[in-house]
Amino acid sequence: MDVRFYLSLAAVLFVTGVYGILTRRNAIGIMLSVELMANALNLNLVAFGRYGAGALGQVFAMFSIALTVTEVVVGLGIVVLLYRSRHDVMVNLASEMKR
Amino acid sequence: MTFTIYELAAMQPALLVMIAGLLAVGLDTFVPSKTRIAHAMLCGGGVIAAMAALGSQLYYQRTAIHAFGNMLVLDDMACFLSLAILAATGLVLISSDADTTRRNIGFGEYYGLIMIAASAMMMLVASNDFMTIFVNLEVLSLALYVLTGITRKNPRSNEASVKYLVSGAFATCFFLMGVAFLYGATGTFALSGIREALALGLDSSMARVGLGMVMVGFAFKIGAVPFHMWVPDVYEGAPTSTTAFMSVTVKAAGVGALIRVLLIAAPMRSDLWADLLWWMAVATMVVGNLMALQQTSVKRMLAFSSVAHTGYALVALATMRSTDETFVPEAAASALFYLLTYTFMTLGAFSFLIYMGHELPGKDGTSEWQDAETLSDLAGMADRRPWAAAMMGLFLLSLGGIPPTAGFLGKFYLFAGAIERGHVTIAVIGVMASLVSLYYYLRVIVWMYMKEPMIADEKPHPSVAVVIALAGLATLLIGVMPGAFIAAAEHSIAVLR
Amino acid sequence: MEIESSLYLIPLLPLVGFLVNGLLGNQLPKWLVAVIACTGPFIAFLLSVQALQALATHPEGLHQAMFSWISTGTLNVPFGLQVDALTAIMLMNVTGIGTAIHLYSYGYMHADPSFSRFMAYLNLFLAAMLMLVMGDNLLLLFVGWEGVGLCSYLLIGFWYQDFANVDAGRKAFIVNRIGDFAFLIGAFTLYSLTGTLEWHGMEQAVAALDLNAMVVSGPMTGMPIMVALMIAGLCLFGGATGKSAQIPLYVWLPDAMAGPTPVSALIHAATMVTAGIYLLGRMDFLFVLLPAVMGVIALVAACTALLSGLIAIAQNDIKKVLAYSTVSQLGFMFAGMATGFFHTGLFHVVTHAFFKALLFLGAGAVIVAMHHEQDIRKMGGLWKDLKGVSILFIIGSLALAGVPPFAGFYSKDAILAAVYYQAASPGASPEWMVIFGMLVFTAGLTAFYTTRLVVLTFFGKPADEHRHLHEVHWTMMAVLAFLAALSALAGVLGLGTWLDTFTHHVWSPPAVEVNEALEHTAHYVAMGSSTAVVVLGIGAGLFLYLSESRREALDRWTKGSGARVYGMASHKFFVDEFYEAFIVNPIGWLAKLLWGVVDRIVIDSGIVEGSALSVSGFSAALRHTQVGAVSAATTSTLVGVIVVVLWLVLHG
Repeated sequence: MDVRFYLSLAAVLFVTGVYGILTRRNAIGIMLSVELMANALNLNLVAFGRYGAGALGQVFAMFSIALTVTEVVVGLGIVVLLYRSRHDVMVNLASEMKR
Repeated sequence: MTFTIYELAAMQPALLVMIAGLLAVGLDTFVPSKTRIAHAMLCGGGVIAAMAALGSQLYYQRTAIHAFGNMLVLDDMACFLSLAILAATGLVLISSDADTTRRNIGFGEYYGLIMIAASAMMMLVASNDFMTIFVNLEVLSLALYVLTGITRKNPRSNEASVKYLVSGAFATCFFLMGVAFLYGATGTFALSGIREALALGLDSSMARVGLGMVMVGFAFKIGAVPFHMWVPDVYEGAPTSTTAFMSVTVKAAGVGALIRVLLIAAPMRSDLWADLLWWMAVATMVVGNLMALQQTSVKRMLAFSSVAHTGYALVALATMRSTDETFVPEAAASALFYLLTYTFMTLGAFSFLIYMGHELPGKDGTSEWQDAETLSDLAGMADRRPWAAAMMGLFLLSLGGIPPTAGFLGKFYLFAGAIERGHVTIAVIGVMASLVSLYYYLRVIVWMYMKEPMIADEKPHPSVAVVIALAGLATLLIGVMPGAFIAAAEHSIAVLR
Repeated sequence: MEIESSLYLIPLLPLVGFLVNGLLGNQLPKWLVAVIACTGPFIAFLLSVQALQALATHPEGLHQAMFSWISTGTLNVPFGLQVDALTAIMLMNVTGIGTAIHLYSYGYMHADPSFSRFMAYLNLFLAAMLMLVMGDNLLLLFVGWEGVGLCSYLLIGFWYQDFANVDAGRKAFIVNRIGDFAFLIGAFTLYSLTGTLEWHGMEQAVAALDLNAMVVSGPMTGMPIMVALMIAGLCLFGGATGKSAQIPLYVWLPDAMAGPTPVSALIHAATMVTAGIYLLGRMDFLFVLLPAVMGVIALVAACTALLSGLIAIAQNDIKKVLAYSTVSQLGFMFAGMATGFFHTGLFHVVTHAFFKALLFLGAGAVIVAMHHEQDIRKMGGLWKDLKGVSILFIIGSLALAGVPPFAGFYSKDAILAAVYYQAASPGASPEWMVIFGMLVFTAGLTAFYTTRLVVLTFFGKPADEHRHLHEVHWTMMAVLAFLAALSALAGVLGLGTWLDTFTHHVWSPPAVEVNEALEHTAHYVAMGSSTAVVVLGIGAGLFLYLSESRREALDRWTKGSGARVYGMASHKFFVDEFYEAFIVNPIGWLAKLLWGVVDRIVIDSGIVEGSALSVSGFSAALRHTQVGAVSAATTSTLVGVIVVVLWLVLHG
């Protein structure tokens, strides 16, 4: 298989994630979209590593996976707090801050 | 790859800060929750020890330490920026005494997170490889997301935190995608390796897109237009000591890392990125200042002003390539010096807002702390708090670039350099922008000095007074005797070549 | 004490006064505040006298290098103080009149609740002004330049309870920013040509430049050096028009009269507004090379003098009349500088400081006596009740009007002679004759409006027979008497000739040899014409205003057939309105527009609410979907990414 197939799949995933972040109001949905984007770029890293650039790509992908997971965990924690103070997880952030 | 114990020396200052931070978190289990002496001493000790380590590196070792296969390098620039970050961290630790006691924030988690973020930033400015850059960028961001939302029951703070996290994660994905593309094009994550590969002619459009996305990642962290939209909301929603912390340190770390990436990985393509940064700098200065002009909340105004100051710092990077097509990396020194001046004046200004905090009666008989935020909170303070108001005046004048403060010299050095390299237009725009900025900085002075007080119950916090005094001293000192600081900044850049 | 090594005390002492009074003044008794505030300037004055004397043995000037302020590979700026003849004169002016006005302020302001703050600001102003004239490089001058601007701003808005005052302060501030902008551009330009900011280094570097060559490096590569120097000169003059209130930036000075009267006297008449003239004198080595720029300066100055003289005729606020007259006299000074006979401008700086400070302080005494009434139509007949103040005020007026043998006559005469000399020199450009005519006419105008002011204020029928006048504090009278003596005698005692010889060696020599015969002719022409117009002006003033019936007729004329002509002058030729409409408003609109577009439309309606208004085609595509969440930040990030990536791909 060619590296381009992986890149194309990653591009589709990435754009799906971008679209999700822009359109979702639900914080959980947004987190999922971030995960999609992260997986897309991890796929890229691994593919580049597999097709020529060497093993470092895979190593980087491991770091990236670990940190993205941390990010989502922290994110969910904050969302829980938001839910406690507002009783919903719809992130319509133009509300409280707008003046 | 094998590592020697000697290579740990490159991380030593950052490690000291990190260990102090982790211990501070652990300390919560052992000491009563109301005492903060142990935390303060631990973290203060960590900061001082790290400063001492950096000092000895600068004055006794003198040669840069390359460690872990050149992934980290403790050179003069890393030391310079680390010292600036540590100075800011130390000051924030003192002033956050107010925030933690007033708002009942756990000392362990607050101090610990600040220390962890500081440590990550110190390693970020020493990172010579996208692997370490990414890890540290991510660690410091995570710490800041949590710090932003640390007042758990405050919806504004929660929202700011979510907003920061979501937009930050979004930008990080682009950054990582950029790294992946650069890796795909060059086969390496090491900055020097990327340069070699690009020099061999691997300058594909994939590499260019990668570089662009990496720059976007940094631009987001430092709040450059158009990646600045999170700044006002997050700065406003976060507890003021956190705002002070992130507005100065993230900028220093982010710009520092960006300088390293551009100078080490892509110096030969300065024709590409310098033009891009030119537009970014102009947009950032113009938008930041014009938006700040509209604000009635001082805290929000300072947030936009910090966007504008990012723009000034970017001017140095954007003009690294002189109009007669020679590449002048020394130009970056003026950005470093500018960030140093910015650190103290901004910290001071935010600390003044904490200092002037007052209690608001809450719904159920309790009371809630409110930092000074609007102009009316500061009205007439010159008569009641002459020292602190005078210091705030100094910070504002410095932010506006009035001599003989640090801010004036920072701007002068910056714009004089830009003109010397032939970039008259951007310098003219910058000077005009900073003249406009004086208008809103002076407005605060007008309210402090030329109005009757509107609130009567401000409760100044003594430890914040210390921060204000120290920041004021630094602002004046750098303004009157900038020689050593400018020399240090120039030296920092010189070793990068 | 060796004065050269203690020059630093001169600006430092007022600064100490500022710190003490500013931070502790609230707790101190008022007399102590006054003593602290006056001591610093007074000792600075004594030191300045010493410095002046020391110049006799050190004609090359005194210089105290303090430390290296900025020293890097490319940029080296020392922090040093210098006193040469030019600075020494300015020092005498600033510290001498400054001390007197500090003393007067005690009498004028001691009842004010914020007295200590006021004195602190005055001290800070003095420190900044001393820095301005003593700095040994352009950057230090700028430090003082900004400092005096800031103090002026704070003092104009001192009585902030009145919102108009704060507005006036803001106007002064903004207008001065425009001037500063020009100043900085000029300074940067000069720096990139000479590579230094120090006076001496700059003078040598400019002298070494080959004016016909091209600039070989830096931003102006390929431009003739002459043109680059002209840009620098014009920009620096642009800065001077801001601080010294010349066209087009003079509009702030009349409004600045909202501040307390001692401030008007010290800052807006005697010292700060002469900073621009000092700058021209300091940069004489540059301006003597640029006759075309000098012509522009002279023309601008003459127009300013004439315009503000005309406006002054139609003002009824005693301080506004004096303010416009200050603008007008500053025009005279600039014209004097522009002739290349720099000492004439400096001479007028000194005499003007005497008599204008006297007039302002006298006006202050009148205002106090009248319980803060400033409208001269409501005064009248003060002569009977305020004999002392009247006599002193009239002395000042005679000096302002240019009546021999008062000081103003000598200095104005010197300027007119210098202008005529320029005009009559062989090969002179014809504009100089026009300038001479304008200035002579303005001299007549000056005499006219001064007479009007004196007659309306002190003579005629009192507007209110039953008024009870407030007593004038003795310190105020003492200061007035001192200034009156200087205004009356400075000219007769030969201050002008002394200044000429004393400062002779600091000026760059004119390009051509001075023609002595022509100089004599010029002197007589100037003296004759100015005496004639002064007599005419005073005569006309007395004729129109002394008699009650003619005054009423004049009043009817201004309301009837002359309303349009008079209205132009009394509305200051609508310059403020013009600026408002064409400069201030558009900037406000731009800011509002940006605010509106970015904040309101994008967040409220554009993306979040999914309305038809959208920033880009991208969000238009998203419009029908469930759009929301953190979109403002993420969308702008995404737009930024797309722009960056496209840019980089297309600029391969």
